Amino acid sequence: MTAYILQRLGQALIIAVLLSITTFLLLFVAKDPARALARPDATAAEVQALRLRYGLDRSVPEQYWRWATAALRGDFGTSLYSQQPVTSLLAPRIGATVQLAGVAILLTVIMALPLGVLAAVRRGSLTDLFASALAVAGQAMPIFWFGLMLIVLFSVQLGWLPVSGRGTWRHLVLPSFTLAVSVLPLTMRLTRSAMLDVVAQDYVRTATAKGVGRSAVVWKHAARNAATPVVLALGMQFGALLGGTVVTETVFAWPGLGDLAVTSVSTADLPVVQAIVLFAAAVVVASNLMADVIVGLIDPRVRY
Amino acid sequence: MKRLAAVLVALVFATALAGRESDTLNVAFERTMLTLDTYATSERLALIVAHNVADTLIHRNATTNEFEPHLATSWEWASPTELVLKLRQGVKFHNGDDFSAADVAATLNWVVGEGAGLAGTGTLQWIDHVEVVDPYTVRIVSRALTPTAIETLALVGVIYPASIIGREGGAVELGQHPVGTGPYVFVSNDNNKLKFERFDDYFVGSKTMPAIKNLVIHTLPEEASRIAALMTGDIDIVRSGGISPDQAMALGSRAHAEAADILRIWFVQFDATASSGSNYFTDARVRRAVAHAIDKHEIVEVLLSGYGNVIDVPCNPVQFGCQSDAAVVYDYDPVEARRLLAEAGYPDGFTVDIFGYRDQQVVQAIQGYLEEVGIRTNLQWYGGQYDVVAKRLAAGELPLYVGSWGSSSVYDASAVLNIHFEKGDVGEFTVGTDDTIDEAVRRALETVDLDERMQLYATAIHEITNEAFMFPLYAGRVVAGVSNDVLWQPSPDEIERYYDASWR
Repeated sequence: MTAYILQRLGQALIIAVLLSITTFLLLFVAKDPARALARPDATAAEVQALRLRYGLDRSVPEQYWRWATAALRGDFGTSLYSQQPVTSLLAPRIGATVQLAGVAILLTVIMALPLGVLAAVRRGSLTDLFASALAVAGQAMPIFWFGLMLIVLFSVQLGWLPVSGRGTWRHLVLPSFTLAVSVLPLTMRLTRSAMLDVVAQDYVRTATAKGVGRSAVVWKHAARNAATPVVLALGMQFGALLGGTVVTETVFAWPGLGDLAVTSVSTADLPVVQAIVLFAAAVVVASNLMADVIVGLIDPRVRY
Repeated sequence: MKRLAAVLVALVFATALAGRESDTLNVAFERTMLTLDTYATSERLALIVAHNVADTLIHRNATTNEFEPHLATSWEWASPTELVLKLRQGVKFHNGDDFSAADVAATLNWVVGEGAGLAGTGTLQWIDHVEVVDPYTVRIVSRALTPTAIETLALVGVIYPASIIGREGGAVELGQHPVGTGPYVFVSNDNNKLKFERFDDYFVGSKTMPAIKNLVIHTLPEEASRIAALMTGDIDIVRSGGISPDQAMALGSRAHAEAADILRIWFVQFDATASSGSNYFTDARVRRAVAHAIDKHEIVEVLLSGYGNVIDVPCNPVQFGCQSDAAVVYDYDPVEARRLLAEAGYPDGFTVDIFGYRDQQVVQAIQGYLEEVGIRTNLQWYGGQYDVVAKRLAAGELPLYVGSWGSSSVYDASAVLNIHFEKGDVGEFTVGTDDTIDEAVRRALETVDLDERMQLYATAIHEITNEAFMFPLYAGRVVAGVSNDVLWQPSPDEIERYYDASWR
């Protein structure tokens, strides 16, 4: 297990380095950061002065090297635009996005697992039909539209919850539910099909034949074995959620990473974009790794 | 169980404190601001914050358009390039510093010195340097005769304390924590909420003492969310530009629309030099064809619900020198458009990229009109990224551009015409001009004789419209969404004065 984790961490490191090089190059190809800082009619000399001030005159490999060595020491540089240390710019944003995505994934688990299991166990029943309908609707609905509908109902009509912003738990309800509904269908359908596979297995029939109670058969024998693909999928979805909260953050004015990413890309704020990309990559790798570890714990047959 | 539900509902409502009860004006902006220093960015939102937190030497009255003494009590031109200003005494900055000539010199010398390359400093680059004459007198020395000097000082020349702007990293600090002499004190930037409090020691001058104690500016990037927040009472003002006219007119019972005619004009601009790599618009007949193809009256009436004033001049008729009768007018005439295209050698039309960054409906309508006469366009959309599209326009990379220009809120034709048609350094966006125009607009900025300036701009306007280097669409009329609890109006210069707001 330890060897496996080390190996995965090594892979993660390589991915992170390759990603950071790609982002660095892409941004340089797309925009000249010094030009992006200057006013539209700035003279060549003024642009050059900005370039010198921020070390943008050095060769791209050299700039990358300076950035990477500093990043290793935990110093992600200073935002070109706001002149703030990137870490202090990112920290509150990461907190906001992780909170949103974390609650959303929790809601997904709470809603999707029982629904998926029930749909499988009572295959063809009304519950199954309801679950399928929900999955189709959830997948077909554009997330921004669903978010707006929730706002209209719960904020404008009923006046129960705030429209936007971050502060109390009440601010969290609508955006996290919106986000959860966007990932719920896949998780639920996966749970359902994994359960269907498992309940058809011999050992489940054996357990039932032995006289084990129905709920013990479903939740202890079957669900545990059906969990593997679901946990792996959730791991991937958590990563995707962190990267994919942009739309939800926009609709609910949630001050997270997505919002900062959009602003920074449009101003060619290299150091900030770099740090965000790196963070997103790290989260995707880490959440997949975590899912692997959890699977290893649930299922003793899995040995890496 | 019922009681529990009742308690929960009561709890939910209790925490939703209305702005009025807490004496807080909640305003919605549509973009995140990474810096609040208006000199560091060309972002209008930063300029609005600046005018609520800091002050300019001279203030423009939003109702009368007159220039009024503010941080400066009087001013006069000692020579054509020397402006001497007497300053107000007894004014305090938010950090306790006393305001004096040293602050004016430190700020403006930084703007044309160390800060000169930054995006928000362009308008003041006519200044050569600023001298302190005595503690309450400054002399601003300009690089050349500058007819718009007073305008630009009133518009963007906010004064920071010398103790901050003068020290290493001071400008950066101001971007995160602005300090001025203005009506509102910046308190914090918390979770994309900018919080301000009334400055009780405010000197007032030509502005007003805020009637509302607290000001909170929220970032709500989605229009539907802004409208919902206005309807629930979470937001009191959705600033102009943050709500479309048709939405504003259907706000319902809690809020209403407030409109203002603004300086900003909308237009189509052509790359007449082929610097974008596309040479269709080097031919005046093609440019005129585009002008005949577009029905701007229909755009204003139908798409903008009347929130706009059709113009035929490439400037706003309220600006000095902007004379409508000097313009060549192009009526909506698709048949003539097709004839001109055929004459220019494009009987079957052509395909070209069209660029835009705001009012997508309008750009799409123009695409539709052009398609009618055979010009097929691919939309290159730069929504919300004005900085980017402006740079591409300035670099001559856009063959066909549907844009707008706010004239930096300067009420003089030079703020549009010289910027778009003068060759050399002054012309930021000159992508099609000729010697007649260049000479006329250049000379108009070299004289203070009003009749001569009128004459020169008439010449320029005639030539620009005759050659159709720019096809003017309409002058803007903005609309803001305002809570029925609040008494407030947007300003024609697009600098929103939240300190003027009061509870009904």
